Amino acid sequence: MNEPFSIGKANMAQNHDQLTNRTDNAIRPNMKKKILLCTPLMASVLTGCVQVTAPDKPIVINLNIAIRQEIFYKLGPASQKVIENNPGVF
Amino acid sequence: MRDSLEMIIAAVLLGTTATSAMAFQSGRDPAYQTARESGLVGEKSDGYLGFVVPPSSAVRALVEDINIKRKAVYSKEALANGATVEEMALRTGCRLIAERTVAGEKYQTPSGAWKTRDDSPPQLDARCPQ
Repeated sequence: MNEPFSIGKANMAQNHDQLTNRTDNAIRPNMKKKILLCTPLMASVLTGCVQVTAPDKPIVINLNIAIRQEIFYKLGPASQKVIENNPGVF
Repeated sequence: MRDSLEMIIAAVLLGTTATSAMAFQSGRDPAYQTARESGLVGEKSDGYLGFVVPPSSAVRALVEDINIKRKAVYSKEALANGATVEEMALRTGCRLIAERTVAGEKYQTPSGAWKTRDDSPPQLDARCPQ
């Protein structure tokens, strides 16, 4: 004699298996791809070392000329004023 | 006698007024004016006065005093314009050499040499507006 819910239980168990398998199948191939993708990255991390060597001379970025021209343009009237307002000093 | 005394006092007062008026007009200390005219001091390209020849202590004191005052006005004006003191000084220096030196006065060329101003245009720093 079957138990009252045996069919239902069997169905559920089957469904569960299917679900699990399906999920499993969905994840596993992707994981493989990821691992595959990561392999060169990991390899480069493990073998290390992007080589960066410091240059012999210090790096000098000279911004003086650009700044000067702009400032000088602005200071034209100011310099005129300074001279006119301080006759004893110039 | 009294009249002549009054005349003398009036003349002296008038003379003083006239002298101070002249000084006010040029605005310069007479000793400084003389030092400029005789080529003892000159305008440097950086906006300050320099010694063309080794200075006497009096000339040195005079120039240092003026340079301190110049730096003070440069600082104030630089602050108002968002510039550095050096930029303000250099810009004013361009103008001082180009517009305020007269023939016979000394100025410093970009190479650092002293040159006497004549009718030709002065040699200015390359950064000066042309």
